Amino acid sequence: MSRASRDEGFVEFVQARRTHLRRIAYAVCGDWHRADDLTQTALTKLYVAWPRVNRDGREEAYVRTIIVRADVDEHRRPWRRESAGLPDVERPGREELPVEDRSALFDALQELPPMQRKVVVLRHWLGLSVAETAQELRISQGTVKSHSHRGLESLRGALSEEHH
Amino acid sequence: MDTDIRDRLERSFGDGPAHPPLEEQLAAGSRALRRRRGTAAAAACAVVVALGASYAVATSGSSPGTGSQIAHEPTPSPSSAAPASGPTWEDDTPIRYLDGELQIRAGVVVHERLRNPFGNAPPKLSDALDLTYQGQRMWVLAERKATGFGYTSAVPSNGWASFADWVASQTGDAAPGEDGWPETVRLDAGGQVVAARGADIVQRTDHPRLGANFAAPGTPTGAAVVTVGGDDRSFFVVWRVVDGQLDVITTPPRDVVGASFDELLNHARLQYAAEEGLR
Repeated sequence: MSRASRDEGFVEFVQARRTHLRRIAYAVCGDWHRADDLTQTALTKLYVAWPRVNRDGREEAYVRTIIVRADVDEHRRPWRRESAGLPDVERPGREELPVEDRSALFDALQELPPMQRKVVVLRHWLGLSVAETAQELRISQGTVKSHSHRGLESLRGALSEEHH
Repeated sequence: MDTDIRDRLERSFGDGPAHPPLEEQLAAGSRALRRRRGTAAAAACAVVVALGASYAVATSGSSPGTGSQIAHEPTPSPSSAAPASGPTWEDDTPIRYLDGELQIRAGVVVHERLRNPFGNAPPKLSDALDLTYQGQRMWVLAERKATGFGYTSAVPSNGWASFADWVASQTGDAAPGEDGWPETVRLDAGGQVVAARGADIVQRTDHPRLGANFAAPGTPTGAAVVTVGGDDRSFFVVWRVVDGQLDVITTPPRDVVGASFDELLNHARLQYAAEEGLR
């Protein structure tokens, strides 16, 4: 595959899907900066793997999997002893974000335990099946069902509040 | 309820701030591809590099790479930095960038350096260093951009099999969850922890009693000595299954030699009781 061909296909995909993909990242992590980082990391990996992934037509699933698993992995490292930067070192600047447009339901989603939140996002927002969700998150189908049940139960309170 | 909640979730938040420029996203992919190809080429001639490298870290010898490939410079022995010239060192950092060059603080011992791990194009710079500063071994990742000096450090940890694996995980060159260790155990379809393909469990307990700092009461945990792929070396691993997901912590073979299974377990218990852990 020529570089021009790879670039053309990649740009077309990113233009069409990056808003949706970053929203997935935001739904699982609740922070737009981190969502940007997650999406960028996933898109970078997609570019490297483009010929194989594009041939199979799995671009979106590939990026989504990296996003949800990467965030899962961040939560799985309780003993990661790491410091990001020093207080007196100049850090790359971040532009100010606009005021968040998010509902009580989204806040309730963010309060769910990480894996419950991911199951709800994949199953009940993106519409993946139990089997697909289990495969995506590398957990059993039984675990998907229990997380789904508990997650939805927790969200019902927020839903009923929105009704009133 | 499904359609209802799907619609509500869809409407529960906006699209967020403006995206980064598309050109940047394309360029990041392009740099990663060049790094991947550069790493493969470097691996192919690693022996030659090791024989030919005479690497000393000094201000004058640390000019940035001109391309986007990783220049992997194995050090036959640790190198102490020569006194750095330039203005007074104000920050408590072992390295800095000055006039487009990496400077190593006097007294810092560099064990290994990976040049330009982010694949930045000049004048942006990046470096990864395995070093000792004030008696503390550190893995450091530094980046010089137009907006400033980005700096990340970590205490060398069993969370990654090597310095290079840590760098790959930080720069996005490693797939999520890839830490350089061989796969030793896995979850089977029934949710049980079993030996990974090609691995053999030599000794095992499903009741390692590693305490609440390791896992909440009721969490499935275990520990084992495992060999992989017929390798003579053994790995001591401990695991916990959290939210249906297996988290394995691997201890390097050098720490397993000469120790009994009980001694390894006792060491692990002490590490978690002290809130240090094994990673």
